[in-house]
Amino acid sequence: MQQIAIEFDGYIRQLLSDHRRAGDDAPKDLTTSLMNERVFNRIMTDEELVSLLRN
Amino acid sequence: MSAQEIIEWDPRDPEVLNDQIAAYDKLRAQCPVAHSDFLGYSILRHHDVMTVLEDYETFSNNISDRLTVPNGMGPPEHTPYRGINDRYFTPAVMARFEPVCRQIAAELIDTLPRGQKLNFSEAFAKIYALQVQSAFLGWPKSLEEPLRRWTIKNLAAT
Repeated sequence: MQQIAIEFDGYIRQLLSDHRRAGDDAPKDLTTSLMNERVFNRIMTDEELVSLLRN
Repeated sequence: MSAQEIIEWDPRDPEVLNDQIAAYDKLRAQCPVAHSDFLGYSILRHHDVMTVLEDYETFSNNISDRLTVPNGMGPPEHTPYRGINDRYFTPAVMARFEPVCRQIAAELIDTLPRGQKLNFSEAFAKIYALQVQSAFLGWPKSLEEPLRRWTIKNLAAT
């Protein structure tokens, strides 16, 4: 189970990192939009984004 | 009632599936809580259901050390995360997305064989769900196959 969770995390972390590296050139999709969402006056961590997307 | 006396049932029994309301009524007359391997514990009476829902400290969703956004949270930290989720499922967002879903459905159906029986869940629904999710989030086609394999493994493990 742990291994499977890590595998999913890997795909999504890669995706988030690609979006982040693209900066302003990142696609205007909902993934980019989610990455700019704020909780408690800060953007979400990758861990939070991966979990939200998994669920 | 002690834990040992909790009634066991099978939610997938054909008799249950044929008339679920009658099955729940029958169970409720026997006990307030029933257990099945498939669903875990089922709370059968309205008053008890409301108690479980509202007493989020006793019946907490926060039962794992692993971060689970937002399902594994209770108030107050659940609220801002849930607020984010809700902004992505508004009628306006769904209306813009509807044609994409229809196109995915139409293209998938075009690939299915004609005039023969098939397993709808395997041949259509699972692939449809994955493609819709990828399109919704703007994920690349290249992620579809790894995610499809991941979904199968994840299902087998849970």
